Parts: sequence; structure tokens; C-alpha cells
Amino acid sequence: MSSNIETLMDRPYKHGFVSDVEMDTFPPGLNEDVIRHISKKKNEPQFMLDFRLKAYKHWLTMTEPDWANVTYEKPSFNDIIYYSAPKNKPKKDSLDEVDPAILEVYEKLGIPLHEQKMLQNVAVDAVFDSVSVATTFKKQLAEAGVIFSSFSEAVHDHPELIEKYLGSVVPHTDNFYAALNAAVFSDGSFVYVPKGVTCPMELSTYFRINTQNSGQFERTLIVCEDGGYVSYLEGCTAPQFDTNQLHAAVVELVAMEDAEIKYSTVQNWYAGDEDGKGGIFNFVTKRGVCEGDNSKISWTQVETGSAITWKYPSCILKGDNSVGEFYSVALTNHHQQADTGTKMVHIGKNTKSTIISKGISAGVSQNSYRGLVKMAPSAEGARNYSECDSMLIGDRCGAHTFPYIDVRNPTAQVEHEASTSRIGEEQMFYFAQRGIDEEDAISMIISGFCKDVFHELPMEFAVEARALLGIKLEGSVG
Amino acid sequence: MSSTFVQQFIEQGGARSTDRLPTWWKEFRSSALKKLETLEVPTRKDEEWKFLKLKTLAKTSFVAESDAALSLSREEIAARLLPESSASTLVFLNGRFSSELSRVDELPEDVVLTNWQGLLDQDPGLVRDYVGANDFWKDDLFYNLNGANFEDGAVVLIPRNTVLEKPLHILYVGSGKEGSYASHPRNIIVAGENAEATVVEEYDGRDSGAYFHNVVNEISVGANATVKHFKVQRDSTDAFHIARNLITVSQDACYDATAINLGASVSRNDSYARFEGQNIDCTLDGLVHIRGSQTSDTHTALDHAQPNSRSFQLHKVIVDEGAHSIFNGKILVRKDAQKTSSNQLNQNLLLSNKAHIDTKPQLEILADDVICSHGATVGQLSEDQFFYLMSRGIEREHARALLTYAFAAEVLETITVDSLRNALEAEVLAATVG
Repeated sequence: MSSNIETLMDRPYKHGFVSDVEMDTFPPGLNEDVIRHISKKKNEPQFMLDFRLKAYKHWLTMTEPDWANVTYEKPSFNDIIYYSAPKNKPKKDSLDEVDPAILEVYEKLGIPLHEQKMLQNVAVDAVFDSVSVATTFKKQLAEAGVIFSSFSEAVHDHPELIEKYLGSVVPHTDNFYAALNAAVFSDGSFVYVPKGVTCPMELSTYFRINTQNSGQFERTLIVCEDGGYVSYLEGCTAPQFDTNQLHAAVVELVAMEDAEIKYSTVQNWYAGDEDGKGGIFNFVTKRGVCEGDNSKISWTQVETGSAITWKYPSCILKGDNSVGEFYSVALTNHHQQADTGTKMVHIGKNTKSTIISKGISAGVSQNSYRGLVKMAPSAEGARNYSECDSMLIGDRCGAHTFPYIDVRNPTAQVEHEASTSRIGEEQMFYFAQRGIDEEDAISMIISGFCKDVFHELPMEFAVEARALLGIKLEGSVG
Repeated sequence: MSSTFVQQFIEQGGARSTDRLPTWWKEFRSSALKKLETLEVPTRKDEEWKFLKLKTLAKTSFVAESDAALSLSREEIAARLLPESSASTLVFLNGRFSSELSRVDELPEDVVLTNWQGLLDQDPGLVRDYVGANDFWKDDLFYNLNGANFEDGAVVLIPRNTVLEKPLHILYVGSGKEGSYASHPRNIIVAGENAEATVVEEYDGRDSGAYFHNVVNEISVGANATVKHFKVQRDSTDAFHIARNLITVSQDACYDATAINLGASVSRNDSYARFEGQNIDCTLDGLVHIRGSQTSDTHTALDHAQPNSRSFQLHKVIVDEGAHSIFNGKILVRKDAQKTSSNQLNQNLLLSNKAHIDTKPQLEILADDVICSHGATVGQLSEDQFFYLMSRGIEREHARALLTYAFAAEVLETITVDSLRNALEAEVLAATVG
């Protein structure tokens, strides 16, 4: 049984191809000139350059954090390429103008933009290495009043919005990687939903790291005005290189009164080979602030890739009655290490948060949940419910839980539960007895284990996520 | 150069007489003194000390216990003596053994119940294998302060196949009125194969004035032995209490501990239990009930190093007024410690808007065929519960006291020494009525 599982586990990473697109790439290394150069290349207004330089100066004073439950060789920040963009890029109005080689890459990834456009009514912003290559459906969105564009375009088209909100949720001083990102980020997505508008379609970004030794530093900013609603999807892949690549993104969400933002991620960066060689270092800062009363921010993530994941999508619940949610499936196999979780900071009255985290570890991987629930003295009547379940597959992997709970209000209620289990022989027997083979049985058990999270994903992502877990885990139960 | 706080203990430790000490004790002390030169008072940056403020402690200067000798009559401590232990009680006053107040009588043959100074008259070699055997805290400041300074404490050695029916009572009475002293009790409890014993370890504060109890317990539970260990800490609310409990459990053995923390201005009670065999049962229960500006911190680590063992933990906390409670409970399941079963529950009752709770239950699991769970709750008494009692004619204030008491009682009920349990139940009830 176990050998069977191993063969299944060893399925190659199917997104591991490198595509030969002509790139405009800076030499590796980081200094003020590189930052000025990035800013100039992107023709940015002065405030952007100031923001970057301020962040860079602060970053120089910081040291890399080492509190996470992961071990790795720290990246050498001078060997990283901080800017790599496909050449041939005057602005495009339609996909027809995009370099066919890039479109082919996305096609291989299974997101044919044309098709998606037609069938799924999903607007896609695709980020290739560091630069956004195409945003579909722009016109249709504009009619609804929704702004959905690459970050660089937004800097030119809506500088007042960018200046107002950039760094307002994740300041450049926040942490080591957020500071680095603020200094060198090259692109990303910007979404603005005006008052009372429900975004007519799901918005989606696809990230891809293509160049070897390049770091990807994208930045996403979503602002949802009073009564607005938007659902945003994010997917990631990278080719197979045997050196580690750095991905240090920042995501900022702002939800005003009665607004709701739903942010879903399926992360499948290259995880390194089975001996732990290569793979992406995924050091990401994601945070949303429920600024207005009755607002809601919901994070859903399916983390299956990356050699190292270090990621805590968080909610600052400032507005009264605001709601924060975090639904997560984190799967690690082989030598992967994940330290992920969330922070729910309750400030407003009657704020509510829910945390559902499912960790699955296989191989010799280490999977940690790390979270904070904080009830400030002002959080009258606030509530939190957390559930962190771990499943271990094999006896060489590890599952860890580090929940921090800090309560300073006597009317607040916090509940936290965690459990650890494995796929039992009885469960497998039950399936076998009914003529269901091992692979399907495992896949069904995992689906059941994760159903509370999958349930939160938009339809097409849920299908993808289920398939992804199936592929990753095939053959791992012995 | 260490801080003034550490330096005072280096000086005190260096000045202590070594005349009667065996070589291994001298070496143990000098290596701790040497280690202290490299240690500092932990700060918030240290993950293990993230929430506990040690500023007041670090600013206080203490004299050695011999410079703050306390003398009390039997009547003055009568309320604290347990009738069950009338022939098995050790009493320490401000850290120094009181032979007048202690009673050791009628114990089965070969059972050792004495203090360190008494042991020097017998055979100090008896404990040599147990001192420093579990080096989990070898880099910890307080463990080394104790190593460099301990002169007294209880020594309990129960030979194999010996069952003690009556509980052993180790009572430390502290008072700051003779001067702010620091004492470093070190208690050794060893149960041989198939032995059974119940130990009550109690710290009792009187008067006002600061003092510092810096305790290290080294507990070894032999194969198939059973040790029940009840700790009651009600040091005075000006005092500091820091305790390190090192527990080593052998196969088929059972170690059940309940720690009741009611006193001290700043208290810290840490336990580390290492499972050195299979089929072990271990329980670490706790109750913290604090108010005013008290702070209490409990860190526990259950180290399942071997397969097939079970551990349980129920830690309950009541904080009122401006008190602050901290809990960190680790469950470690090492590689290959299969068939481990471990359950932990931490419940916190937050009764005031100035009070504060930090809790961090923690699982670190490296084996797959295990059942491990933890739960943590922070909340208050529910309106439904109030309604139930008030609809039966019980006033709100009284209902609040009853419900708070009931919350605590679940832990108190685990205490098998009747007089101690009754006294604590009465005490907690009186405190909840406020």
C-alpha cells in the first residue's frame, strides 16, 4: 500500500516548465539606484519613489525574522533579480496584442484567458514575473464603476487613490518582507469598488514566476467603499528550478461601512523536488481592515505549494459589528515547511471572527498553524471561534499549533479547539468494503476533512483545489 | 557583566559556606555560579517570557534567607497543618528548616523524609543521581539562581514497593517583615519501583513585605510507581514566587499533579514532564485564582518521548480586578511516540474589564497515530446560568459567587487529601463572595 502511495506522491509538478519569452531583466542586486530605476522604468510619480526609498531605508535597519517554525538557508538579497518584465510592452487594450508566447504559458497552466472570458465571466489580471500583462474584461467592469487594473496602471490613472491607501493597512515598517516589498514591488493588482456597487463578476489574478533567480514582489490593494462587494481570486505557479526563489507579496484590503471583500487563494508555487531542492520561499503579508461598521472580510486559502510558506492573512476588526473570517487548507509534502495562520484583532463592538484551519502533513514535511486572537478593551461583546485540525500522513512529518489568545474585555468570548488525527485503517476498510479503491478513498476522506474550507471557495476554485489536493496526496497513505 | 539583580545572587551564592558539602554539590554550585555570569533577566523578546513582566522583581534587592530569620510558634501555624500528616510534616520558615515545628515519625523503614541539612548528617550521596539529572532548564536564569544558592528544601525518598498511606506535607512559611529575603528551596521527590506516595507542597505567606521564593523541584517516578503531587501557592501578595518542576516518569508509572496558585504579586509555575517509558499516565491540572494587581503565569510541557502513554491537563483560571493570567501549555509528541493520547483544556473566567488573559495552548506532533487535542476558552458567567439560580430565589451576587466557585471546584475536587481540599474549597468560596 505504501509503495503505491509513494508512486502517486511522486507525480511531477506539471507547471514546472520555463517559457522562452524575451525578458527585460535588471542585473541581480539591490541598492537605491535599483529602486530609482524600477520607479523610473515604470514612470512613477514622485510619491511612489518617496514611498519606496522610505521603505528601503527602513528595511536596511531590519533583520530577517526567525521566529517561525521553519528552517531554511536565508536568501542572499543581493543575488536576487528585482525586476524582470516581458519585453514588448506598449499598453494593450485587448488580449490579441499580448505576446503569443505568454498566452501560451497561461494556456499550459490551464487558464486560457479567452475561454475564461467567454465562459466563466471572470475577469483576469495575469502577472508574469513582476509585470501585469493583461487585464481582461476591463471595459465591462468600468461600466459598473469598478476599477480593476494592474498596479502600475492604477498609479497613473488613479494616483489619488493609491496615495491614500498604499501602506495604510500594511505600513512599510510592518515587517522585514513587507518593507522589502514596499521598496521593490514591481506590479500587482488594484481593485476599487465604489459605494453601493456589487462587482458584477469575480475578479482573478494569476501569478507566475518565470525567470530563474528572480524574486516576485507584487502588491495587491483592494478598496471596497460603503456597501460594496467584491470576490477576488488569486492563483500562483512557478517553473521548476533547483535554486530557491523568493516571493514576498503584500496584500492590503480596506472594507468601509457595510462592505464585503472575499479573498480566495489557491497557491501552488513550485515546492522543490522530493529531496527539498529548489522551490519558492513564499513570505507574504496579507491584511485587511474592516474600517466601517458591519463590514466583512473573508480570507480563504488553499496552500499546497512553496518550499517554505510564511503567511498570516489577518483582519483588523475596527468597525462595530464587523466580521472577519479565515478558512485555510495547508498541505505539505516531502520537505515542504508551512507556518501559516491568521490574526484577528477585535477593536470594535460586537465584532465576530471565525477561524477554520485544516493542516495536512505528509512525507517529512512540517506544518504549523500560528494565530493570534486579540480582544482589545474596547471590543464589547466580541466573539471568536477557532478550530484547527491537523492530519498526519506517515510518521516522519510534523503538525504544530501555536495559537495566541489575548483577551482584555470581560464581555468577549473566545473559543479555540485543536485536534490531530490520521487516516485510520477502519476508514480505509470501510471504503474498501464498499469497493472503493484506495486512491478514491483517500481523496474522499481528505475532501471531507477540508469540506468546511472548500465550501467557502468560489466554484471553479473549489474544483481546482480538490483536484490539486488529490494530485499532491495520491499514494501518500500507507 | 550581569545586571545588579543577578549579581546580588552571584555574591550570595559565592558567600555560602561549602564546609559540609560533598564534592558533587560544590561542583554543581560553582558551575551554576559560572553560568549565571552569562545570564540576564529575561525580557519580552524571549518567547517564554513574552507576557510576564519581571521589572518589579528585577528592581528589588534581596538579602539571603539567613539574614531574615523568622520564628513562629506551633500555634501560629496550626491552621496550616494537615491532620493527615501529623507524623510526616516538614516546616520551613523563611526558607530555613524548623526542626521544632516539623514532625517526622512512624514512617516505614528506609523512607527518607528530611531536609538537605539533615541529609548531610546521613548520606548526601543518596540524592546525587537526581540533582541536575533533568537539564531541561540548564540555560534558565531562575534554575541557575537556585543551583547557585540552594541550601535547604525537602528530600523525599520512597524505596521500591513501599506504599505510604498518609500524605507527606512540605510547608514553607514566608514573611517579609524580617527583611526582603530570597530563598531557593530545592525539593527532591523520588519514588522507587512500585512505590506510592502523596505529597503536598505548600507555600504560605504572612504579613506584608516582599520576599522571593525561587523553587526547583526534581521529581522522579519509578516504574509502576504512583505519585500524587498537590501544590498550593498562597504567598503574600507582595511576594514573588517562581517554580521549576522537573518531572521524570518511568514506564507504567502514574504522576498526577494539581497546582493551585492563589497568592504572590508575580508568580510563575512551570512544569516539564518527560516520559521515559511506555504506558505512562500523567495529569497536570491547575487552578489560578487572582485579583488586585496579581500576575500569574503557568508554562507546562508534556514531553511524550515514548509511545503508548496518556496525558491530561485541565487548567482553570479566574481573574478579577486588575489581575493578569498567562498560560502556555505545550504537548510534545516526539517521532515514533505512536499511540499517544493527550488532552488539554484551558478555561478562563474573565470577571473584570481591567483583567487580562493571555493563553497559548500548543501542540507539536511528530507522530501520526496519535490522538491529541487542546481547547481554550475565555469568557464570563453566562446569563442563562444566572437566570437559573435567580429564578430559584438566589440573589445575583450570591449566584455569581456560587457559579465562580463551581468553576473552580472542578479542579479542587481532584485533591485527594480531605482536609486540604475542604480548606481550599472554603477559601475559594470565601474569595468569590468577596
